[in-house]
Amino acid sequence: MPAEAPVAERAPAGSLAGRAGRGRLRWRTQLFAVLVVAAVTGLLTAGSFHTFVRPTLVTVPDVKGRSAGDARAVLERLGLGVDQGITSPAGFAPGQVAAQVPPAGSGLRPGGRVEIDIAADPTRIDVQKSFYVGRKSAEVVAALRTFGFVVRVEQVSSESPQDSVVDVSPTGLVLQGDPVRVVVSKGLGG
Amino acid sequence: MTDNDVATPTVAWPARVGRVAVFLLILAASVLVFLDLEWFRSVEAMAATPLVGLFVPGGAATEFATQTVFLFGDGANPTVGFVVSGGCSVGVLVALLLLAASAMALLSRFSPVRVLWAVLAAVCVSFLANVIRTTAIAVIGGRLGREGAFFFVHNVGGAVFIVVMATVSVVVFFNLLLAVRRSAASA
Repeated sequence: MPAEAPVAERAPAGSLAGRAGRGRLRWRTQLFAVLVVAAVTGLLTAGSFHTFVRPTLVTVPDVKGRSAGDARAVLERLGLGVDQGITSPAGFAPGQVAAQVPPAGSGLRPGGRVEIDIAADPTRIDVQKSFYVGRKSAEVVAALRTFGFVVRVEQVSSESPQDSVVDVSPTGLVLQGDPVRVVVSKGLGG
Repeated sequence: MTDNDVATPTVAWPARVGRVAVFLLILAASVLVFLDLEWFRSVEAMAATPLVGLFVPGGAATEFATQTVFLFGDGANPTVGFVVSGGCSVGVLVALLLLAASAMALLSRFSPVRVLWAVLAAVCVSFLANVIRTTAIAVIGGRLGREGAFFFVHNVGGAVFIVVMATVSVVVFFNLLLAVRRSAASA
């Protein structure tokens, strides 16, 4: 615009050239302002859509086998929150991520949370058969998994009520991460 | 409507009320931006999402939990994370511009509508410039790493660009504010 400005300055205030120069300058500034305001409006509209209506989903990476610190850093760098739990050490070294929810490849909204379960240091837990036999299988399985055992369920025909636990093995002091067999009654029908 | 219908005392009041209303509006906007710069930053980051992809509000999900940060990236590659800190915002510049413009609204020389339009355009110039700068930093940081080109764009080029664009926004503001109507000039 340097071509117009001197014209506006040199020309007398009321002259035709002066008015035309100022008019062109004003027109260009107005056009520039309109374009900038339109661009900002467009970006804000599109940004709101991207953020609130249909956000770009974050692809959850596979963090199984990584250390807890590594996994947390990777997830946080992607803008994902981390909830940490402890699980059976079976198949993983203590301190490594043994399980994650949601699994790798899932799409999460930015700021969504991923639950990672860290393989616990194995300790021996006292498993008493009398504590589990006769209880609902779901309760027993959940309890044993919470202790960090790998639970294997077998179903047998039995006079015991259907879906109740009839046997648990091994018993006594069992190392976390070891398999525990739970035998469940399927009744006498089949 | 004839010329006789326009009585001078009744015209003055709406104009004065309009000026005060625009003054209060712009002043309130300035105060709001000053009080909540984080919110303004989040709006800036949100506006950049169509250009860089991902927007993560707040520090809740990051290791920088004590400060508000925003991460840009494609959502799949962890190395494209980018943090927008307080220094990356033009919130303070915009708030100062609004504060100065609010005083202009009280001057009878300028129409309140023109003041509003001028300040809106000026704010948009600064805002857009910062979105472009932030986007450039995010893209270069993501593609080339956090040294070299990123350092230059972030610490030198971006800073100069913002200073220049802040000046442009002030020029635009006064240009629009002082623009003389053709009809008024010819009268």
